[in-house]
Amino acid sequence: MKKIGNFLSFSATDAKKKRGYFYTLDAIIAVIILVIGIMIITGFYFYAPDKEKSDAITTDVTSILSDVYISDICEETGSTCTCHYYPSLENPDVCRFLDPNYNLMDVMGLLYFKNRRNDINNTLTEIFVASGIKPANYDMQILLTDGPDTHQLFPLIEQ
Amino acid sequence: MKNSRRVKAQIASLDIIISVIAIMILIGVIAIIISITIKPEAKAIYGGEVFRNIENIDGPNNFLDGYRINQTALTHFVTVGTYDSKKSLVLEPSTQFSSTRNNFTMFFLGKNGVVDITPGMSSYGHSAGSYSNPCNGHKQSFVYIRPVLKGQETRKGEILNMYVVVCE
Repeated sequence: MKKIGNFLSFSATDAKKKRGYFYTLDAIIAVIILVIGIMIITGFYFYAPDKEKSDAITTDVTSILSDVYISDICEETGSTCTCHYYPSLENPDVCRFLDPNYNLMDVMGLLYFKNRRNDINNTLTEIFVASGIKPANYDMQILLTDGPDTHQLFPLIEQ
Repeated sequence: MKNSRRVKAQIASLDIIISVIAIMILIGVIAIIISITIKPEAKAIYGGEVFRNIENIDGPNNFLDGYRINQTALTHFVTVGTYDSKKSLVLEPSTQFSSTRNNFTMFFLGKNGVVDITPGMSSYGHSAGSYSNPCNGHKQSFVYIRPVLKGQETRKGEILNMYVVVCE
């Protein structure tokens, strides 16, 4: 009788242990799912691109390219150019194409057709990247459309 | 049999209640941890209405025309008149800010760091001279940024970022 009693009590404890184990496992899985869910939701929220900000930066960049003239940033004396903040424009091979009445967009187009893509890249890097106008966490591409063709002016693609 | 079902139902509902409470506690703990660890960050705002206010200032203080700084007008703006009178010009016309509740600090950053507004004046406004933490003592800040062309007296211009930090 005592033996049977011992056996019964052993079985009951074992069943409780099993149930406890499953409840604990259930709770752990639920917590893991919850944490993953919260991480995914906050990840979407924190890293979602801000369209309004991107549009404003694009407007700023294109406005600078069209509103700033060579006469604003460089002094020309004879065949030399003095552009204190933009040394790539002082390169004699670039300077000879510059006109005080050209805006930066004109200059980029002209340098493109003179096949001076490195100079375009250097100038745009000096203007927009080194100065921090392009935020560090943003990428920027400047494309030029020529009829049906589209060419990337910035950043430079080595060919 | 009936009794056994009741017990089972009670256990199941207790389990649900406990799990709901546990989830609520967990969410509360996560929210508290986030609120403690993440400090309010200054949010950069491009193309904001503060610049529209500055562009619309009339008279000799009108130092911003689109993306160009008129150095003579800028010098006039920062040297003539009180800061409080400038606050209402910069903050009030078309924003939700108020010149009594908010302050602003203005400065310029180029590729070589801070560019003086006028010789010897690195920033203007609430925290003049301190552009690294211009909203010290305020709860939050709104950082308005616009690239501008700023000429120098002895050199040709530089394209740099103009910052207007509004403190609340």
